[in-house]
Amino acid sequence: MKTERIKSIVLILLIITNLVLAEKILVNEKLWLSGYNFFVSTRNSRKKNSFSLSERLSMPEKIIVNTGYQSSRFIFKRDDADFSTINSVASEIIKSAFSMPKSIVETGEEDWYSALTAKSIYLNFTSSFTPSVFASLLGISNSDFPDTEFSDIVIAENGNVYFGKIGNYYKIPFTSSLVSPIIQNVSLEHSDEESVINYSFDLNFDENSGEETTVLSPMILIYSEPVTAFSVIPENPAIKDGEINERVLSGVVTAFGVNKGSARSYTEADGSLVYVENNGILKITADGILTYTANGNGIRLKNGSISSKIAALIDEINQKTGIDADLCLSNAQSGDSGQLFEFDYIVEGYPVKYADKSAISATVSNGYLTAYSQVLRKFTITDTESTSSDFITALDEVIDAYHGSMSEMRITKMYPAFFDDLSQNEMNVDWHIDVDNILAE
Amino acid sequence: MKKRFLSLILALLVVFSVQYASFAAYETSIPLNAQGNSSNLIYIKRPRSLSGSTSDKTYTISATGLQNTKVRVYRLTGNDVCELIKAERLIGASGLFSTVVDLPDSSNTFVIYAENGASDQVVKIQISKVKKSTVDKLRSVTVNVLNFLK
Repeated sequence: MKTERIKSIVLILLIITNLVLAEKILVNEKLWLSGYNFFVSTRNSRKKNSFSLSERLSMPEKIIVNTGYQSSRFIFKRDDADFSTINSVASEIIKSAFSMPKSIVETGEEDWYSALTAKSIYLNFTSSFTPSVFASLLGISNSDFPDTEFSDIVIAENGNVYFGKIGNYYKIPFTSSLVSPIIQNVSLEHSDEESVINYSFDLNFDENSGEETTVLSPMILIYSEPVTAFSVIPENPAIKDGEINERVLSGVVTAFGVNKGSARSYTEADGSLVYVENNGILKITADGILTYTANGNGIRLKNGSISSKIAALIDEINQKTGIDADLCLSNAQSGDSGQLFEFDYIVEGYPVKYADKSAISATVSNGYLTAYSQVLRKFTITDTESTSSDFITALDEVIDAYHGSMSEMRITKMYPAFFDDLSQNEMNVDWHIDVDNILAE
Repeated sequence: MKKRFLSLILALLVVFSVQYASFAAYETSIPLNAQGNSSNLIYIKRPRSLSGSTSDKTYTISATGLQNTKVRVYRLTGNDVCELIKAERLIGASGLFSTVVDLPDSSNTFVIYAENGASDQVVKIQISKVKKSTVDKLRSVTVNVLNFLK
């Protein structure tokens, strides 16, 4: 009788141990189906950003609140606490304004700069958009937009919305009482901060009076102090113990409709794993670059707008690879042959740049995904702070490299960013500089 | 021979001491009426008219200049003497220069001293500090006048 009782206790203990271990494996390895996943709402929702990528497509990279007093401006990056509050108000106004394309009127440079120097909210996007592409990201389908491109939006204190580029500015007359309280609150909350932010046009660095060799685009932000941020370590989730991580790979492969059982696969000399299916070729390199190249039509994307379909695909890949970094649309082009979407990872509010590619690039043609590439990266923020060089020193260093071969250099973009050289070494914040129109001597 | 050698040493000392004296004089302060011997080392971009006003506690002065030009910034502190407030900076390959200066008084005079080899240039800048309420009043006046004109 006693032996029987001991046997029962051992059996119960074994069953309990089995259940505990099974739960641990399920949770740690995430071995559940994504369509039947009650863990999704708990564990997987612990993302730094609570929005899905689809909701973040039309989000600016940074917001500047202009208080109307020259250089008293406050900058909000995506990871700042106030960013979401200001962005939701701005987004509401922009959506309403862009829903009335017939009220768009052309306006002058003076109007644009007046809005920027007065009390206003300025939204800076990494990408340039045509108004119709931007409207489609907001869920508005209309073709009555002017033929232009922009990457800046200004919302005046009274609600008027401005967008455009040099020599081609537009205004959407709109009335809103939501902007003024934001500016007031920001001014009060940050009144003790010595924030000195100038636009390039404030300092007249956008004008060439004849002697200058360097001209900056008017909307470049001139930081008076070097930028400080915690160092970041990028990690390649595609590799585990020096080999391609099969678990990560399985999730990615299914996202592209590749059947591991039937697809032909081989390993290249450099360690890249390649799957060849009827609809295309999927490849993961040892340094974590995932590429998909369609064979024929490509992959038919699920229902919804093209941008939201791409966003859903990226969300799926990131979920399966454990990537939780914020993403920012860095390029959105639409043409007769299809659409191209490119994205940057955003870490600590700054974009992560790669030498010759975007973090993510997706090409869609007739509703089919024809090409996709992604640098698979997870990011760990360290406790070590790093400081960039100051704005003008950074500019001097870049221009020094070209010196002797040019008479004028136009800087189109300059902003703080991280640079991932794919070596997975610690990254420090530095300046990203886009140069255009180098006039040779 | 000995006299000639001593004269040479003396001459060298005089030359160096004059140079040192002029450098030393401008190292921590510069007279308000100082004049340079050049006008094309540095070009002030802001304030364009060499005088400006703001309601902020600081003001950003911007300029362009020749590469390798040394620039120092002084502020008038009294008795026509300006004291160094910004350490020397070298204009780099971009040719751009900017500095943020504090505005302790309602009227602030700054001297920008640029030096490149034997050439030097002195530029005086006047920045007035106005109250934010004054800026707001001026803004409303502008709006009212515009409304009236319409």
